[in-house]
Amino acid sequence: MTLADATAGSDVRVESVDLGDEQANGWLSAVGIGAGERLTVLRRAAFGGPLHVATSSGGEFALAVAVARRVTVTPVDGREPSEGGER
Amino acid sequence: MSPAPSTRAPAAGDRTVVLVGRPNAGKSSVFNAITGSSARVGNYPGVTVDVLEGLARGKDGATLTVVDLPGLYSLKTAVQKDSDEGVARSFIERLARTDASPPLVLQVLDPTRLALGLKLTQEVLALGLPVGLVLTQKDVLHDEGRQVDAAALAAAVGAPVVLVDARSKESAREAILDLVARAAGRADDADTSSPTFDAAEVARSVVSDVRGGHKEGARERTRRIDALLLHPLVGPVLFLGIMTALFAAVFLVADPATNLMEALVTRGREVMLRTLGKNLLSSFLSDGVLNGAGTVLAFMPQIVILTVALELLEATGYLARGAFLVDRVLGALGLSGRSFVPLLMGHACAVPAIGATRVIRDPRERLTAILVLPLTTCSARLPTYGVVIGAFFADKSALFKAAVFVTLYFSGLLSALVTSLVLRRTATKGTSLPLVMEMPAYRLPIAGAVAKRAWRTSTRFLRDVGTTIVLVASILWAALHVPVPGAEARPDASAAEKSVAASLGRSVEPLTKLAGFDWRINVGLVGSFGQRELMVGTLGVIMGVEDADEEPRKLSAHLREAKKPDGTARYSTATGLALLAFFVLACQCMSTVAAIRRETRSWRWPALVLAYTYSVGFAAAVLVYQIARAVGAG
Repeated sequence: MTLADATAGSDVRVESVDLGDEQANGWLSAVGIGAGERLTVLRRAAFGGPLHVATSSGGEFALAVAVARRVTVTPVDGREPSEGGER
Repeated sequence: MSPAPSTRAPAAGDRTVVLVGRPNAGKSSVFNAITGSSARVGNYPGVTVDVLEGLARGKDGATLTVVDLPGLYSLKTAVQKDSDEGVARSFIERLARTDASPPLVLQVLDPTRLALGLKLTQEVLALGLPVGLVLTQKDVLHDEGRQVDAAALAAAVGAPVVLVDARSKESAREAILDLVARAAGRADDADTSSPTFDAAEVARSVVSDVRGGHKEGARERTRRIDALLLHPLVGPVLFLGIMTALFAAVFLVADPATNLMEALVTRGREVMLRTLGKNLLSSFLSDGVLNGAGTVLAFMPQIVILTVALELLEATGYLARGAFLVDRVLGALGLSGRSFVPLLMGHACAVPAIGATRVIRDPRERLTAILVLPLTTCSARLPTYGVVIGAFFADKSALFKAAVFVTLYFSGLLSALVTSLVLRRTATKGTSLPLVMEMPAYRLPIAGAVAKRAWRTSTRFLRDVGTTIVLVASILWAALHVPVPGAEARPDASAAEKSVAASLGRSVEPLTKLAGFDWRINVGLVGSFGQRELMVGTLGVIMGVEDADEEPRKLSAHLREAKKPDGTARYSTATGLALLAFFVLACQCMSTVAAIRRETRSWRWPALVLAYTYSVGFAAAVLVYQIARAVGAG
């Protein structure tokens, strides 16, 4: 599944990112959305607008659906303690 | 060429200190703490984003040139060469090549999001330059009941670290200068190899909870506020409310400010005429130079209000929320949510809105917004439409006039949207990453920092845009007042009829006839090239009607009664409609052109705006004229 399919409130782990360009993939990973990162979908904007996600490394981002479609994820069950001393 | 211009010979130990950091890491407050009031926008050839620089005195007495680069996520990867990341990377590379002593890179990190910041640290260390880490927001961390072990972090990453609260400037400044000295000292040691580390691992090991931290953390507070501000129903309503208030403030302030400036200019003219008498020089000074200066000053209150508002929205973290809410709507036009505020503000005045496009991170999207802003129905268009409608359609019903007015208003919006779609497929096409935007934690803005930025923006506007406006106003004055050589032979003609503008108007008349414009209207268009409000006044001058802009009825009667040699009406309804179509599209505003020149740092884009708005405007005028005549409005 892709991040675009994730429902609000769910937790997922990023498997891969493919924006069709190495630089763009690297940039997205530097922003905080790269393989291995655990994401919580906080909410989705109305009418297919962007997703609001929190990353396990402590950032919160708005992501357009067009980007979320290129992010392959797997659902994560239960609540692991988040990383980086973040709460 | 050294990118840091200096008037004195560099002493040993003088360095450039480059501040890098993710957006919202607290870089600006660190910059302000070190440089005090010496900050100015640096003049770096080929750099298209604002790079602030300031001076500081190092611990060893050396001069430090502190450079504040735009916020960035990565130095290694950049989506585009002209994005903030691309600019920052080439900037640092060039500095490393050209400066005598290697530049020192200070990375500013938000310790509440340390793992994210440390990813950038890895890239910064890989540059092989001396590095120091400044952890900001000590207060926020403390409020969240956590602490960071700076010594352990320094050991883990192999670079000196300092933790500061940039709100207490003095101590922050001391601590950072101390860090600079330590980092520079390390650089002189031979070992530049950087240790490898796992960012998340390090972040986990150096940040720990402390007892007694019972206050609500910034994170939880932000989540709670977001639940309200991003609520599917409440969120958009609040957003529209805030935008309406902001729009009203920018829009409403224009009127009294313009009146005040006009009163000042009139007063200046009186004084000038009294001292110099009525001659060509006093006319040049009052109608040319003073008129231009008045135009610039009239924009100032709007610029200040919009700048302060945007700074506040950005500093509190709300701007990102607004963009989140409206992103979908703008996505249909090839733009992202970040374009909303500038495009809305363009409906008050394009000039400050063009400056406000700085909130758009994507360079191509920003350029698109800049290029379509001249089409939005700004506050200066409304009175001009009113007067032109009054002059050309005085005998029409109120309903007809109202319908024309409303059509004009929405034509501006529609043309901006269509142009945006076209540009995104032509001049500004190319991959630009769809919205990926950090949602920062809500913070209280620092009043001093907001005021400082507003001051800087306003004074730069006065300087950069003001000179162009005064220059264009002077040239236009000359075109309307200086007779063409040989014109003295026609003593019966008025000064305006003998002017350069009049001969220009006559020479293009064969073409403009297609839109129903005779040479007199063409002269009006020359006169309103710099400022659309001047159309009616100029028409009055060329037709010998005094004070036409204050009393449009006299001009209106003149227009109605003017006959061609064959006895038919010279100006028909079709001509009026064609003229309005032209006014909707043409960028008759030198202030806008000057603002575009300033923001894009080239003449290419303002030239494109003039070319496309004038040619599309003229094409629309021809179309409207011919259709109107065909349906019998001729």
